[in-house]
Amino acid sequence: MTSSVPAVITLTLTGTWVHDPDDPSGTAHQYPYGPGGGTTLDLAPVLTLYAGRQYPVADFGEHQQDQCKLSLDLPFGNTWSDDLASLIDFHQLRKTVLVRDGRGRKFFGILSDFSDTPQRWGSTVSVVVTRVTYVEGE
Amino acid sequence: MTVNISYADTGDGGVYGYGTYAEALAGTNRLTTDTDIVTFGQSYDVPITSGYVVDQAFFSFGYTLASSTEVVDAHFEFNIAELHSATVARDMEVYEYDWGGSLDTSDFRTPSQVSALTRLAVVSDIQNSYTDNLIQAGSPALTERMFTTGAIRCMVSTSRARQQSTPTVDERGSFYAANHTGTDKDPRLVWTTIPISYLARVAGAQVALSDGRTAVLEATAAETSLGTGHILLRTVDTAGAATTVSTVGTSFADSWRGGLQGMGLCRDSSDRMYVVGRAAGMATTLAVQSWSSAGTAGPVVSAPMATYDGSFDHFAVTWHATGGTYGTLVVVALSGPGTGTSPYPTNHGQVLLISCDAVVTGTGTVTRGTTALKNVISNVVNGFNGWTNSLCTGLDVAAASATVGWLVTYAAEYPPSLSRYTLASGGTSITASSTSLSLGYVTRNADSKLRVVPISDTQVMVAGGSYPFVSIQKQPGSGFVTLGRVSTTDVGAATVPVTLADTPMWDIVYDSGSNRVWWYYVDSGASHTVKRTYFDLSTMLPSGVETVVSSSVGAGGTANRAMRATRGALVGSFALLTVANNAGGTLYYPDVLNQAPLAPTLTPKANFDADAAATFMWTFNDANVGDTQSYYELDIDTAGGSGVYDSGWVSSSVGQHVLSASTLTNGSAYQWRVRTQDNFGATGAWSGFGTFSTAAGGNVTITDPASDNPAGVITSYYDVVWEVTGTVQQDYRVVLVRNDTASTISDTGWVTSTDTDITVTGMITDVEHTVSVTVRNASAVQSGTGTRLITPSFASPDIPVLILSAGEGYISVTVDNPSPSGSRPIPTRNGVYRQTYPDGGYIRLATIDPDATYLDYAAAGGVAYEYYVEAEVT
Repeated sequence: MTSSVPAVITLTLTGTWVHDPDDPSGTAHQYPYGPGGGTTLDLAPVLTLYAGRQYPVADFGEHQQDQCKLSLDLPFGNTWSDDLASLIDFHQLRKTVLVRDGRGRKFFGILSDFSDTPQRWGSTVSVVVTRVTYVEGE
Repeated sequence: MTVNISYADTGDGGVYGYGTYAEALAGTNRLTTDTDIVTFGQSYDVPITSGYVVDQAFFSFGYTLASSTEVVDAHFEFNIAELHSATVARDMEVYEYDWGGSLDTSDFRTPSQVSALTRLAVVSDIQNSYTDNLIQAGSPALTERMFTTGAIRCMVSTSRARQQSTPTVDERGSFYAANHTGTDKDPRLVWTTIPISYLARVAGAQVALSDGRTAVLEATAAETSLGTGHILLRTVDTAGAATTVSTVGTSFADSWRGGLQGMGLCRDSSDRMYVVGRAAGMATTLAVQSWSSAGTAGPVVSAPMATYDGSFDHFAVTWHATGGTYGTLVVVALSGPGTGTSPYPTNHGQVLLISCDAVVTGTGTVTRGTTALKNVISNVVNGFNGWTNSLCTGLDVAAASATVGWLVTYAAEYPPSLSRYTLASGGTSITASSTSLSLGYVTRNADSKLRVVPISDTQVMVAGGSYPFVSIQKQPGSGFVTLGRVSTTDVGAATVPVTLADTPMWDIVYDSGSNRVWWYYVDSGASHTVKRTYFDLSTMLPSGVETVVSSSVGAGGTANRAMRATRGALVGSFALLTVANNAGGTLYYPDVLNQAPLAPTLTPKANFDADAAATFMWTFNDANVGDTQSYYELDIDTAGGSGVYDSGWVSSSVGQHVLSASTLTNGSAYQWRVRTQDNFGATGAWSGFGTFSTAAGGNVTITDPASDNPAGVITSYYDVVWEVTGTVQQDYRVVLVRNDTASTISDTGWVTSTDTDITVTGMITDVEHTVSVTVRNASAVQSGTGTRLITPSFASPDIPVLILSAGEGYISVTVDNPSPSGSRPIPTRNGVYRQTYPDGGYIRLATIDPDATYLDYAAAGGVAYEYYVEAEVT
């Protein structure tokens, strides 16, 4: 085996990108508008109250729940129906998808809580992405 | 051996009584007769009408026993003149009775007086004899009696008269008396003597043990009457020192009168020693005892002979592995004249198959099988199937394998008979085929011997007689073929005896290492010098080379009586020679049957530069298989023969000598030779001379590669370039060796060329190689050798080129695999790796084809990533 010289590169993403990891080039879809998402982190501590103590005692395990709430703006136009349908399709896949955005976030997760809110200029869609375990590469 | 005959003197005659049967037995009315026939036995109604007659015959022999001799056999011979009643079974009995030499009626013996006499001979079933029949009768008692010089006087009667069995017919017989015309039919006392010898009785009892010792039976004295316990079982080491293992016990009749082979000795594969001989007090019973190699005695077992004519007194024995746990002994036993009525007795030999299990453990059946010797040997004529052993000790038997053996003895009149026998599984019986041997002039001499030496299952050497050495091969499924036949005069050595027919002063052994049969003998012109010579069985020719074993065998003025060599297989090339000397007793001479090495074969020595060390080589040659070189001497002379260098004797088993640099000078012609010594210290002849010359050889320097293990060699080949100094290249030789296995990849041999470069090929990647270049000049003198180390590396593909670019939502990873350079392989795929820069840890993203592109959709936006690719060969 012979190795090449390493090289560094940075990818610039606009908006939010979602695709099926098993078929990236065939499923990658860009959602250019909207605030994107905010993340929540739940480390799932167990709180136990004891007599003589004023406050509970926290016991942390190794589990955590990591979620990202996407809010995507889908303006009317040539892509509105495709954008909306693609999000539904990603839900319908019932499998792990990769969600990326221009702020360096990268979630292998499952989609849930799809919500479509009609707007005057189009639709606002909210989706919850819950991170799941995923081993990248071969 | 001397055969002596004493004729009965003319004082012989007969005395008879007659009347009633009681009166006849008591000698009443006794009368004497002295005619040309004498009568013995009893009768009714003849010649006395209605009366009884008891006849007794008397005769007398005078003789003198020569000094330094012993009697090995004695028997009477009578010629029957008339015999009555062929139906009344009776024996003729001969008793010693000293009637004083002047016969009268008072010499008549009553039955009770007869019973008190010593019986010297019996002729069984005399009723079967007939007129003019020659009958022989002897016994150990008669032989023993012969040791007292002087007259021996006898009385002859019958068993029925002694037993007082009343006759109803004429039961008498008569034989011719001394008064008969001439001596042809006179009663005779035939007695045989041999010189007194320490080897008498034990001349065949010597076998090699696997640890190098030799087991022997040894007599404590040469006197004729040893008494019980005078035979020792001893071992003799390779220096000739004897150690007593045991006294052969009282169960063996070691005091009887015998010839050369009165006891037998052999050993099995674990060196257990077996002794056979006649059981004490039982003339027709075999005694056998074993001793372990450490000398622990086993029980004594006995085996009665199946049938016999007389007392058994000569034995030969050999061991076969087949049969039970411990194997089987094949014992051949010969008897002396006994009670037979015919001059051609039929049962003078027995073959017994003895169970070694029974001998070792003392339990079980001793005799596995037995057969008369007449069933094993050939040349059966006149009903005579085994010569009267008093006249013949020619007997030998030897195993060739677990089941096959060889047997030689005298058969009918002569010649001797050779048998090849096969022992049945379990050792219970043997089958044999046999042939008559042509050994020239032979005699049935109690003081001589026959020898059989197995070469293999199918080949054997037999020795004895005046044409003594015959090699025989048994053809599978057919007869015997004579491979070679050599007389003593054919041997080609100057001092060999003319014949072996009448002397025990010889023996033979077979050395399998050199495939030679060695013959030990006494120098015909020097009675105290023992020599040996050999017959090469590969060529069936005698060597004609005599080797002195010892030139001082026995002190001056003494007499050497007999010789014995190791019987059966030798251990290595060691043979023990035993000589019986009348004054010195039993003398042992260790002998290594070794021939000096042959001249070594020189490996031609090429011309060389005397300023450098040079190696001379040769091949050690020796006819003795297994011999090795122990020393060598190398001699170098000028072409004119002046000595220049002599290594002296150098201790080495290797056929080479390294001559130090500058021992010789350049510009000269030389000759060289070598001689060697074998592992027995024998010095061989010089080889012929080899020649060489010396000249400056110069040096070779490899200039490309200019140094060892140059970097960047990515090919399996390399164009090696050299330059030569100090000589003019005419030939070159380039050798490429891979160093990990020291195996030569290529060798040009000597190439006549002035080229100074060559492409060596076939190098292995990542393995160090040595390339060596040597040249030689017009004088064929070699230069010093230039060498370089080369370790090529061409197992991996060339370095791939990585091209990254950002696309819409992905990073494009493009690989450019260049065309292979040198001996590098073409890659079959590429691995794509990525990490979050700078140290996020690489993961393998994908495997792609050569010169392909991978689109990475899993890169996060705004994050710096580092990629590389690996070109792979699967």
